[in-house]
Amino acid sequence: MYKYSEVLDSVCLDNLYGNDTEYALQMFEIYVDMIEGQCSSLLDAVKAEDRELVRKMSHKIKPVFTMVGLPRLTKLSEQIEKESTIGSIEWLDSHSGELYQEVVGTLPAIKTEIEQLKKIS
Amino acid sequence: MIKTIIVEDEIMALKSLEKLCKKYSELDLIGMYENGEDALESIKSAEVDLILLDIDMPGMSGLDLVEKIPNLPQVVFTTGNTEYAYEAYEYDITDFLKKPISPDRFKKAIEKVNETLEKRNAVSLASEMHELYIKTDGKYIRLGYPDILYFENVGDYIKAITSHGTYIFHDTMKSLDSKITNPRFLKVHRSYIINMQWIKDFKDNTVVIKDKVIPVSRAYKSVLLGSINLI
Repeated sequence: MYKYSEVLDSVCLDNLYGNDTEYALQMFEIYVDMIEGQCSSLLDAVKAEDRELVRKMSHKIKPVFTMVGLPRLTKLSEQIEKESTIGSIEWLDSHSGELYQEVVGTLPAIKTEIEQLKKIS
Repeated sequence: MIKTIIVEDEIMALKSLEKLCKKYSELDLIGMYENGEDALESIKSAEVDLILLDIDMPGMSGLDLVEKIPNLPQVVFTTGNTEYAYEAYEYDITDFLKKPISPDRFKKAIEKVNETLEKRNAVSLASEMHELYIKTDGKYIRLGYPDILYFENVGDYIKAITSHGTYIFHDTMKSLDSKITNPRFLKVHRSYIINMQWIKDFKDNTVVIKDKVIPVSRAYKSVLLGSINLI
């Protein structure tokens, strides 16, 4: 079984991809292509105080993090989705910002993982 | 093959489902749509057996979409929120998957799809063996095979003569002949398909069913003779 980086939740990734590293690689590459843009859109929606859009955006990106071994960000998105209709804008702003920072911070690890996966696929 | 479409607005989930579908040779992935509106157009114009359907999409939601499909095929809902589960099961769906979807969970869903398909096929086969439904006067009428004496072609229509009445419906003899699965039915002329259990007698190029003398074409006579127990 392929060993993922310790930064990522390998149990979660093994459950999703098993030995299919080509499948994992495809998902990781899509993630890198789109996640920053989607998190920026979430931040913009919070800034615009568009709660429905915040709900939709956080709902949309929620499962994506688990697919690259970052289930804690799935939980954070879930919290944002839940608070989108009732939470304060300040809360949404700080947590969306936290999510964005986490995404940016973990991107190098994801990119390294892509390189590793390319070597064996 | 199970003609399958995916309706999903999130690209990773869409690609993931595509990948999972390709693991199953019985699934024929005929389309992928990012919104309900496009999917609905496709479902109206093509035969679809299975929809892998996201619930929460911009515009038409997955639940809105199933409301608009007249003859709902099998549906497996995919969603990030289990809170939709209760509402989703109101639609007699085959399964409900929470994203991200693991291969093991997807496998179970496909097993359920296959089981449902087998049940539906069994029911359909049982019906095919015993009856025909014809559309006449805006409704479907059941004709049990034993009650049908013969079919007669009348222009663009077919007349079904049964023991309890005569019915006229729109079809061609060729199409009707292909739909009848009961081996007791035989085409004896380009305009007649008869139920052999009602034959009273026959001679030369005719058979008599009740009091109706039905012509037998030369081309079909040998088939008729080969199908009856001549002593």
